[in-house]
Amino acid sequence: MGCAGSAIRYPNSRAVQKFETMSAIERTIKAALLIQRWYRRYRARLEIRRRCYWTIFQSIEYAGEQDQIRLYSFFTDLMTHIACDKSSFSNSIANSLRGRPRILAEIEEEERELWKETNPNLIPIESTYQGPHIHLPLTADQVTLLINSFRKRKLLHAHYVLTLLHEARKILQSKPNINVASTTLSRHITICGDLHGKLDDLLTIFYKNSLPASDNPYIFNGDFVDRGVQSVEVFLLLIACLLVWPDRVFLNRGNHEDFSVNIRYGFIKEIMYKYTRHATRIIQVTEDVYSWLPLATIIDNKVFVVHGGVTDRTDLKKISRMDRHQLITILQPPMIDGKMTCDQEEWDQVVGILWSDPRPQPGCHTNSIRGGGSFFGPDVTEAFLQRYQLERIIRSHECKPDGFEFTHGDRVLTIFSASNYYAEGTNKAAYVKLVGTNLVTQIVMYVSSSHTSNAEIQQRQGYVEQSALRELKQLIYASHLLLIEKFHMEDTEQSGKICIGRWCDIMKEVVGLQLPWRLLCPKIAKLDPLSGNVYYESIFQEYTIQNKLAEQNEPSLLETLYRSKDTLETIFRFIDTDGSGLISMQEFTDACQLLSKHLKTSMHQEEIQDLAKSIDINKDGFIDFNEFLEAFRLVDNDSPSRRSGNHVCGLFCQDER
Amino acid sequence: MTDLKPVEIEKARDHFEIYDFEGQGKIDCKDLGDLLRSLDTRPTIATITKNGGTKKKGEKMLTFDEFLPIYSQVRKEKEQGTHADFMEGLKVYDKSENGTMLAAELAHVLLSLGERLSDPEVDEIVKCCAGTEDEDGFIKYEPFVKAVMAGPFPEEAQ
Repeated sequence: MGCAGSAIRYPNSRAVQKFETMSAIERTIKAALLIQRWYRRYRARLEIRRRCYWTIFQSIEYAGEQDQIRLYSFFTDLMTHIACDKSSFSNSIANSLRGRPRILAEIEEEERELWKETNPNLIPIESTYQGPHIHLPLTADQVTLLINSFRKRKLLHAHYVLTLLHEARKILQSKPNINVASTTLSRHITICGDLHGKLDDLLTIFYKNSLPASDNPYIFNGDFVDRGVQSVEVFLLLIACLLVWPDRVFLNRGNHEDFSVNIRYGFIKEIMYKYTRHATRIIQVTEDVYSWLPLATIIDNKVFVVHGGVTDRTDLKKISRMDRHQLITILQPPMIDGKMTCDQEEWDQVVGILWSDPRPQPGCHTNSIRGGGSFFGPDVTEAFLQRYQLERIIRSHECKPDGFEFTHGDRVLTIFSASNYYAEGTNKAAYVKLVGTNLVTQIVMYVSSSHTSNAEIQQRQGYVEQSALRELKQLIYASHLLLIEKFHMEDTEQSGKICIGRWCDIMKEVVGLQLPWRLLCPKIAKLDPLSGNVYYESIFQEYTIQNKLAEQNEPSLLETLYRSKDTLETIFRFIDTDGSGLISMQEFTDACQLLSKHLKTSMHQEEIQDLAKSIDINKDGFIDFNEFLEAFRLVDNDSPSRRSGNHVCGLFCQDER
Repeated sequence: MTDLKPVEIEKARDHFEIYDFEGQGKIDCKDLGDLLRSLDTRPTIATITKNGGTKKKGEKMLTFDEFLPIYSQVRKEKEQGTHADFMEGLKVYDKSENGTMLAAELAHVLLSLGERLSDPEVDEIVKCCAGTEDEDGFIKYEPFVKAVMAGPFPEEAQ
């Protein structure tokens, strides 16, 4: 069959030629062109939908991060306040705030304290334990054993967890702030991005790229935990690899290697669920391990690998010299009695490299969407690379649809290794290999799962949209009363409708997310076909927020608490220093008051106390806050027995303990 | 711009904003084609290039006011092609004249003629729209044409 060659011959369109008078080849070319144009339109329509829904997930994620940062800066202010004015809060809150982060002046004393409280031998292994047994020194075979056990959903005994964590501490303590990696022996090196507790993705990487070995070095670029449901297993596996191959496995700290972030994004919850009474000890050592994680890695003096990015003030000398162990959490500068114990400048440096994102615009601007770090432009990258005579930056921190993205003229590579991160079907993941003396980039993409990978693209997109809309609706419902108030003010004629422009403005303002509201409107609300106006009540007809434990209470208070559920949970976990899940009624009331101070809204003392009383089911003066938070549900109005909302416990279930 | 209704301008603005990644009120001309097509037009690559579309990122930016006249112009283009035109063109490959052609020949046509598609693009379109091949590799091209023309979300009529 004759090919058309490289020149495109467009059928003569000036004379409106009849199809029949064209030659066969001209006809075929015309048909091809038509199909191609229609196909590209098909693609573009899919693409704009994809981008629209991606924005939903990303905005919600970043808004959550911003919230958390704001909360911690509120805590910091409070701590400086409390140091001066001890009477303003009840003792427990004051103690919790003062107690974190823990800083003991002398490092030997700190080591002793830590060992005293978290010695693995404090936890004997029962004869009924069915999980894997490990012993030091750890070997490659034991790593394989762990992998097989984790695949079968077996839990590693707390005794062994502590053993591994303590060994890891020792190794990490000897590492510099900036790792040095070299490819002279192996001639290649593999870099993985965010894993976020996706064990299946980590196992896919090991399957495709083999386990670490003396000739197979790896760099794991932070964010090993949170959001995914096997953060414990991922973290332990990486630690195990570090123990077996300490000079071939490099771990960089990410912004999620931080108790303050874990408290909101699920790692703490997972540890508490899986390890219950041993959870506090494990969390304690984990926090310490985090503080010993190096902050970056440089490969062959050419490639800078760091979790976030760089800023115009990034100073590698300063970063190399600092005492990284002081930074127990990155959301709060280390403090004793209301005063910072490290340099403000040093803290800024670390926030900068762990939280920043690259952007096409030149310059360095505050990262307003996350609330921490900067947006850095191509000029900042160039200046940084020149200053330290490096060639490129490899970073993670941002989810990308294909798992990777080049930017800044290919000088910056983002690599993200958690597939289907936001929901099933949202993104592929990738890892990168740098090969040979020139460190040639090879990117490997993958998706680890399930039913959407073989689905057709429209099906997958449909799935993603459903997930995104569900998350968005939860946020919208959380602001029901506030929204109705504004809608009523706008709807002066009481018609039940408002114009779409105003609807978009109000949604943006109250829900607090910059989304393409006009495009999303038909998916969320009913529209009047003639005028295009929005029936605003229609948004709320699908579900109602309920909390079975607190049914008798004031709906606006409940709504405020539901809207700030994540923040409230952070505060509860903060107060719950023994990890029991129980706090006293007084502590509960204090927590709500703290929340209202932080949000700058008023909550009536009596309403809160009434709520506290009604949740204290046993009447023993203690509240199970997990139960309280879990009891919030979006109840389907059509079938009240079917409920959506969190199903967290089901996801964490293990077969054996 | 008097030929664009306010509703159409608003929709164009919404789509424009999605491609305005920096929030600066500008889009990259590399995305001009996708943006125009998302608004239901079917320009050729040649038309897009003529109107300022670029192949690489960062070469040229466009504001919304500069974009509207281009959109208005491209919308007016006739010669969009009817179902019958497609069928005529593909009939050439219908050797048995029974409404079927080799899937491989369809792929070849799209890969080598006109404004060529890439391999993954052809895989995708065949997977989504062509249905299943019979054991000799033939597909019915009429349902294929119908599916492509209907677009990815046919339940939402334009």
